[in-house]
Amino acid sequence: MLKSSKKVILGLIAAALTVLASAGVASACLYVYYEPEMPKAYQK
Amino acid sequence: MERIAERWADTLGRELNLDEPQREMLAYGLKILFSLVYSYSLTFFLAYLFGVWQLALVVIVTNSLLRSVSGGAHSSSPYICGIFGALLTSAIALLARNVSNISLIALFILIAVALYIVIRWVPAGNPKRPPPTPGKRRFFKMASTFLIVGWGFIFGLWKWNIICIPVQYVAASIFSIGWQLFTLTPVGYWSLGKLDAFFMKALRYNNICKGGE
Repeated sequence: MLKSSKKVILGLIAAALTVLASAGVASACLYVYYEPEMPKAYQK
Repeated sequence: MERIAERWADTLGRELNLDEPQREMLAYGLKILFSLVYSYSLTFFLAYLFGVWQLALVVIVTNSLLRSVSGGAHSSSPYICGIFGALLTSAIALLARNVSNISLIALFILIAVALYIVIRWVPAGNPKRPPPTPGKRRFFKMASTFLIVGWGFIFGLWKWNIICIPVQYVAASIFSIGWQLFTLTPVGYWSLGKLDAFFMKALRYNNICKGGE
């Protein structure tokens, strides 16, 4: 029970981070003055 | 900051059995999150000390909206980004606090210059991103133009007393747009590069950061 709840929470965190990363990929530039290296899969 | 993001992404990837591209995406998301939280916290903290956090909020929202579709010059380290962003936003907010009147001619000049810069330089080049496709370039140009024209329309409504916004908030958005447009030009890139080098030297001198980390 505890293990599956942990998986669900981690899954939600991962989903939120993926949404944020997708917004970063789709925009022309990040909203602040620093830009991390873009993931290789999206550099094509 | 980047190392912590990589470590956390590793842990998340292991727990959820993700493959490498998915793990990289999580690391990228975490880096964006850390960068945003760090930069905005520092900015609001400094602006709060100066008593201009509401104006700083206007500066951040205006700048972020235009920046996300127009691109712009960047700093080489998240630490410099945070310090520079906080100082710049507070300076713009302090400047806007002392404005008591904005002329219509200034608006027309700003919109004309803004549209020229958007047509000429949007989307501004970014070494950490692949060059945008022609379709995406067109989209960014159109979105930037739409934002500038929309903002000009709101300014017009304000000028003719159809909507009521304190003059300092309008000034903060004008200065913010002006600065963002400046960062799109070659002179803006050059100036930010020089400032970045200066901050980098100062941070390295104080052992705060090494090698752009």
